[in-house]
Amino acid sequence: MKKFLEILRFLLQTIETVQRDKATRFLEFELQSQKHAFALLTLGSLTGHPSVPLSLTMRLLPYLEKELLLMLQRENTDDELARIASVFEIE
Amino acid sequence: MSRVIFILGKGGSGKTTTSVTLAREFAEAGYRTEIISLDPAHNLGGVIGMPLGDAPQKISENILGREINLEQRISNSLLELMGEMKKKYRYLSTIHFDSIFQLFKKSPGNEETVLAETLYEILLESKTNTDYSILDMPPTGMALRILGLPGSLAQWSVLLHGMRREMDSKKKVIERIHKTESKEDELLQNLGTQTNKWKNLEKAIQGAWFHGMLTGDDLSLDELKTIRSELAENGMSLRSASLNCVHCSSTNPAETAQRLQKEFSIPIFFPKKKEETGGLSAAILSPPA
Repeated sequence: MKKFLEILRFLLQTIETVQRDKATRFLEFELQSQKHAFALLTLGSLTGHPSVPLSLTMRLLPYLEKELLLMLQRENTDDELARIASVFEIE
Repeated sequence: MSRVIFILGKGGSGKTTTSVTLAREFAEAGYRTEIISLDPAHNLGGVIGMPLGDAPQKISENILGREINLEQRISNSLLELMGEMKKKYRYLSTIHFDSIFQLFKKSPGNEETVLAETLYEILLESKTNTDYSILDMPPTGMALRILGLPGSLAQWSVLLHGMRREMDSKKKVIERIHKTESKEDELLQNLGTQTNKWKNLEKAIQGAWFHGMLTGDDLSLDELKTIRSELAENGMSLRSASLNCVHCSSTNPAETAQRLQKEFSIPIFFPKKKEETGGLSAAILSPPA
């Protein structure tokens, strides 16, 4: 009986985690896109894109660690189409 | 807070001489005055006959003077930035920040931003407790870029701050659902600070008195028209101008001044002697309603 209850608890926790992930999937996708746009906007002048004045970028640079890493990450070949398909559960 | 007067015009049109004469007239009327030279090619020390540094120095009774050391200020601001970068990116110790920041030193817009930050210090954080601050500006092009920068940086800061606030609220919703917590967003706080700083500076500059210099020739006239329209675009107004008759080609400066007054709809002063401003100080001390 104890074992059965343990298994049941584990199953319910797993279901809860999956449901929470599903609930936030679209929001996380939106947030990720916004992060990319923000990184491009603030650091774009360093890559030749006309955007925020370089002097403002420089003053924000100590706080742009995640954005810098994101810009470097985007160099890798991400299968963006596969990622979008996964979010919208397209098979 | 000190009342601010910006002196603008072509190089060699008499900005520094007018600044010094105006300061002397204010001081004789009993007002504590500070003259600040923002021109990287300083003349102020030469005109008054004493070397000046970045810190305010007493020139005479009721008058302080300073020449902003732009080179030093750029180095200081980059050193500060480098210090913060090294602290935050400690794990990236192999990156040579020194060489990166040598590149940044000469990047377009950096000089103007440092001078705009200097303006913030003068207009909003000054400890000299003077009644009037006279700013001897660089030649027109650089002066207009400095004066327009706070507005432009404020707009960008507002945009980035808005984006970041939206991202932060989405992040908090996700964290609530997943029952996780993360640190406060330092960048959001910094953007809030930047936004307030540039907005406050823009407002302080818009409340200042703008005075232009003319030398009687067509070039300085065209330049004053450019100054007037560029200031207006940034919510500022040209309040007066001086006709510098030392180099004046006009045989009748009074007539020239009257004609220009009609054209610009602002008072045009022409000093009859080198040691006076021709009524500028009186106009500033008691402006018409």
